[in-house]
Amino acid sequence: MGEKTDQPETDGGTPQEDPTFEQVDWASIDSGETPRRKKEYVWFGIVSAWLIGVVYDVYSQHIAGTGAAEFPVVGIISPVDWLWSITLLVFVYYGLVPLAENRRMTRYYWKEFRKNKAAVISGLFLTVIFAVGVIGSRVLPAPERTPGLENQPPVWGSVEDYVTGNDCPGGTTVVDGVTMCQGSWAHPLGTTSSGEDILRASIYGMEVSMQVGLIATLLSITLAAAVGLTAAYYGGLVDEVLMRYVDIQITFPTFFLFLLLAYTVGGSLFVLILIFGLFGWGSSARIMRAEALQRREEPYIQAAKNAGASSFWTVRRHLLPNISNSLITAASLTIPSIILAEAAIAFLGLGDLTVASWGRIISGGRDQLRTAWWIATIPGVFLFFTILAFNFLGDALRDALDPRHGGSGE
Amino acid sequence: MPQGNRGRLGRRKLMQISGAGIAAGLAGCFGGDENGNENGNENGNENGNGNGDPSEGLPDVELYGPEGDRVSPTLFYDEGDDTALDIGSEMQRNLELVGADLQLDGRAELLGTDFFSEPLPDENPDDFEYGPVGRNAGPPERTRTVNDWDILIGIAANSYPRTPGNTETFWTKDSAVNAYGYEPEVDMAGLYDEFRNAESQEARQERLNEIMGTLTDELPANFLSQGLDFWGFDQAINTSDEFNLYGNSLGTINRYRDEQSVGGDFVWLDGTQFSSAFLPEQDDNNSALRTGLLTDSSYVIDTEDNVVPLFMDIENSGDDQVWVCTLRDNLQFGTDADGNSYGQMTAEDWVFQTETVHGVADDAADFWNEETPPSEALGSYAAVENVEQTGELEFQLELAEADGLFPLRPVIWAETVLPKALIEEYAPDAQALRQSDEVQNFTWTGNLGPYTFESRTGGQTGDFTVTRNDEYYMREHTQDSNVQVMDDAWGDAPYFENYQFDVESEQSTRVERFRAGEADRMALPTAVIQEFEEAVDQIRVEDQQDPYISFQFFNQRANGSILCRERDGREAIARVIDKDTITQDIQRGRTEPAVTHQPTWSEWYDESAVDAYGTGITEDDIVTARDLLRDNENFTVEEV
Amino acid sequence: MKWYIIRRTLWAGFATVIILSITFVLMDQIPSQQIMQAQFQAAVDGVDVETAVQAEKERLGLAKPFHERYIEFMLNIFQGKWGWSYEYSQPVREVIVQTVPYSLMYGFPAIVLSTVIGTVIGLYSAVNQYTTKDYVATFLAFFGISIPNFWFGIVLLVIFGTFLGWVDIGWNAAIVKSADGAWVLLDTAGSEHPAFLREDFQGERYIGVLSPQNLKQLILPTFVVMTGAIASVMRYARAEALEYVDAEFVKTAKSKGVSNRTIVAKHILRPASIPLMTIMVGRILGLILFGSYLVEIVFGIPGIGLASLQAIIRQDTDLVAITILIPTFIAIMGNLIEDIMYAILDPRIDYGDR
Repeated sequence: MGEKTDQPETDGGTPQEDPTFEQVDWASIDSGETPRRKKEYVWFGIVSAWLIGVVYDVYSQHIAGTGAAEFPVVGIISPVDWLWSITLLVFVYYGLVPLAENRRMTRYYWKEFRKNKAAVISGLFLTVIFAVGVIGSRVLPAPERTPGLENQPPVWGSVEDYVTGNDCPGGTTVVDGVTMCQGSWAHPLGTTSSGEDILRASIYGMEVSMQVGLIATLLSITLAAAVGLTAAYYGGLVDEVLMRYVDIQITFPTFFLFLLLAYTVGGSLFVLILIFGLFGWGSSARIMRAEALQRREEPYIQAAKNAGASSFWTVRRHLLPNISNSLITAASLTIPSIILAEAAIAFLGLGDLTVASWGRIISGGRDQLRTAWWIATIPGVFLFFTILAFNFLGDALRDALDPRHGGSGE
Repeated sequence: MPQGNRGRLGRRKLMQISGAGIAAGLAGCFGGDENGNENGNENGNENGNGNGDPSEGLPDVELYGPEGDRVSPTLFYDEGDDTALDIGSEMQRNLELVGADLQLDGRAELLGTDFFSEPLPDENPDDFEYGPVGRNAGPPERTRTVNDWDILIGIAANSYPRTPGNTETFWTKDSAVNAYGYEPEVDMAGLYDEFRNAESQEARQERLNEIMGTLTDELPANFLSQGLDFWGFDQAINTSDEFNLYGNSLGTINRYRDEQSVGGDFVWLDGTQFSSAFLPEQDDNNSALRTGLLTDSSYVIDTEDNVVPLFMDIENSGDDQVWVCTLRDNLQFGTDADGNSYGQMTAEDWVFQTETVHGVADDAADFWNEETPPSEALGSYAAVENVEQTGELEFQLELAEADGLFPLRPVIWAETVLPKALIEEYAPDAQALRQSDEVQNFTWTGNLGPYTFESRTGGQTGDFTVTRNDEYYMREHTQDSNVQVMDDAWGDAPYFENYQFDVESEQSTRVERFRAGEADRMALPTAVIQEFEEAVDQIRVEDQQDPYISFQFFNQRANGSILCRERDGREAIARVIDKDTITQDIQRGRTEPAVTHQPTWSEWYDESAVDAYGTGITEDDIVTARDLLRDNENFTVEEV
Repeated sequence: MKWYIIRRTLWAGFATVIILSITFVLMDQIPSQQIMQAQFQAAVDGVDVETAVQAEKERLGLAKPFHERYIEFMLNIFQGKWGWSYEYSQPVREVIVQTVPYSLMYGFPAIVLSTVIGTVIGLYSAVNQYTTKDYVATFLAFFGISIPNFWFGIVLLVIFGTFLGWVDIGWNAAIVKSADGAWVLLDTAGSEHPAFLREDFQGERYIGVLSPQNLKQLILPTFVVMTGAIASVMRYARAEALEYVDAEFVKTAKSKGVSNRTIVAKHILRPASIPLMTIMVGRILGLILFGSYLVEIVFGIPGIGLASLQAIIRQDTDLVAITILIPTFIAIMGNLIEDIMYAILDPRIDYGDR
């Protein structure tokens, strides 16, 4: 092929079109700017809008004293909702969008992932739960405490009348001299001892569990990545100090910490999410640091440094994407443990009473396992399968994403 | 087991958090025995709740205050109590009927800072006409509550069905308990004085009717519900007929299995553990129930308000101001940690403890290395001016003010005593005394109680075990006595070999164990009462009258909602709060609506003198409530 | 090497101090329920509120300024004077001595059994990847880590206790001690022994830690704890073993015709056992000791977990401090041993790096 590399550009003339040689636009490269693509602007805009919204809400609540800010269409946005929205946005932007862009890699991942049938089913299950939870919580009315309708059995069963509250929409029958109350379609999965419908409570609980799991994990992973990468990259004193702090945080019995904080600061859902997110990231940080330490010695890091990249740039553009495997793995394993921890705290009675979380419903029903067993069992089944699904998924992700066979340890 | 200790502590306790422990209600006409309707409306009331909605025909309204802003009161409830949130939600629905938008706020410590008040920031407390004292910071328009609440539920107050004069502490404007800022329009203090000084029972009843009537008229608080305690007993265990009545019953002679003869063990399944061995400072019922087995007390009061002497008899010297106490002659203390006997209980021990531990002596505090003597009854004993020993087994109490009902007051009633030598051994180090071997292991009890201490395991699943005392002093007083001859039944008392409090803090496990027959007695949680009544054959359910009435307090101070500060607003609230739903549905028919500061079963209660709100709510009630608000210039009722 | 060990040990001590301080500060922030009750009672009785509060503070040992209390607190802990538990009305040391054995009774067999069984299953499934048995084992492992402990315990208790009647629902704590409160391994006693309250029988029955009645009541809690622990051990063993399954020397052994079992035992187990052992010491001990109080609550076992939970709720500061100290101490010790063993045993690691 003819390379016309030494052909100078002529004034006023158009450069020759050559299919085999790309013109390199040295001018723009030299000036050190990378054109920001449209999606980055959009992302920037969305995050700014979010930030402004948060600041406005905080201002109107605490400084101006006029109560929570009311936005058009959506009304009042609770603190958990703020966190939830940014979590979903982050997930879409950093998770789904790159997958959509890099079709080849996505296909590869999917092929690996599909090998594990259990993981596929789990993924499907979780997507359904997520969708039902998020959509259901918007569409269905919240489970309400209804006096009179306590302890209704599910539609397929019946229970002695002294177990249920005063009303029995499903009608009563007398069996062997004992009055039994029949379940009804008004409450297909029965009601709790406060009269809340369990089906609705389970659906709302889906969203609550997702919220707790995903938001806290996002917080946790962000912190872990920040700390781990900084420690690995800078080394030396920074590394020492950060890792010593992480040591202490890890050694402090996490559950105790949660309990102590839940008891001192209060167990509202928002506070609980913050506690999980801000204090549970220790071991993830360690994992990411270990991984980053290995990558730090790779030539491309050196090359970036030589080319004059700033530390922040190097860490963000070169280190972070390359440890993303362990990041995703750590995330997918943190989620179920956080959901479990929230259920445990709700079980102990220290959780948020106003929110329909699975843990709270189970806790309320454990006194009546003999008589009104469905209260603790049905949400318990949901909880169990959700956690199981996350665990399967996490394991499969690790196997799929890690090019090394067998993956890294815990 | 004499319930005397429980009685005194129960009496002394002015208020408590309702919910935990207060379980139940009057069995009887309520509670779901009519059922089978398709639309499920079976409460035994004319206006069923739920489906028979009295507000159906009425338009929705919104209520606005004097400044044109929506009336949105805040409700504080006890976070730890699940039914509290149910009740709060129900109240939310009720208040919507008059257009108020109730906000719910769960609190961890209702009897803590939430129940305190303080002067407004720009007010000078020195020129208040009364207060600050205790939780009452002063006149309501110049003070506010420390935390911003308008309505508070979850506190139950003692109604003192025996001595209703004690309810004064709630309703006088300058009382220490008056955190909510109630300033009565009538002279409450005067009325109570007249009640106390009245000559005859009829006169007293009349005065009390006036007081109770005023309370339902001015409505400083809405009286929500009164309850019963429910106990499950093994079928074979005997309980006397008096057990169900308010007051003490003598468990020592009345508790036996099958027949009144010695044998077998008794296990009481409890949810809270033992915590306080040092008797002068003991302030919780759980510990008192256990230590009550190891030592009797001065005397107990029966259901007829008569004194039943245990250690001593108390007599009026004639002027209502000096009271003479006579001890029985065979009371022997036990030993100290080394085995040396403390000898006989004499009046000296009583005088010494009353003076140095309970603070009757002026210099009592100097005796100890702490700022105040180690007693929780300092306030109660402030009524005693002087105590003096007048004989080996006799001593006198001189009161600061003449009081004809002194034996019924929680002062010397159900009081226990430690040996003087024990106290002197450890004084002035109060902490050492509290933690001493003798106190923790009850070596000093001797023949003073029906049982002796055997062992205890601490913790949420521990136990407290005692064995029958072979030397129980009371057995000698059945034939003749220097104080009072007792019934023959005391001759063999108690009737169990071993008595154990078995702690199982996890309620579901506790109930499950009781179902399986692993214990003889247990307090039944509301949800399972009906099941035990109907389906568990070997358990018998007994109820016991409970003097605590659950209140809905209104904040009448400067930071309270206009709805609570205005009397019309309070009546509007009282008219729409549906006590029937709360008691029949949420509390499963185990409580009854209360009317005033006396339970309806009290002999002092007179229904003609009071107005009852909140039961059998009809459309008229709601309309009246709305009209009250409309006619009051502070409110605007708008239909939407 | 020595320098490294010394540094790590010093750090362990320092970490302990910091953790205790944090605990102390946190507990201090909680407004004391007893003081509020005293305030209220004083208001009611008409006594001067200030005096009453002061008296209550002194009773609870809260009267002194913060730094004095803090120093006293830290010194006492290290001197072994662990204070007084208001909840148990006993010295804290006494509480610990009485409760830890109960936790160990179900914890220790759970640890040992789950390590052994977990390792075996993990190795097996590493060697036989993607077979049905591997899937079954993996599924069981996931089941174990996913199921909420407390819920599982309750369900088992209801099934085996209430419906089938095979186990007692309540926990018999007196069965492991003799009549005068001393711990007993195996002995016999008649019906006047406190463990047999409300029962009347002739002759004698076994009591003690190894008695059949005690062992029977230990089955369920141990099982519940094991389900979680086995899963963790199994996954870790599998992961570790997988690193070596594809290793050269294993392939060599296979091509030489060595049986699978020998391969696993000799070639895989040995290098994999180092991290396994350290993991067991370091993590699982702590995990089981304090993570199991949910189990203790459900089954009613008077162990250290139950004690610590209630201590927090009742603001029994001295007891909280010690119950946080113990698992922390074990965890720190465990990490220390883990690091040291790694440093000693694994020549690949440059310990100066840390």
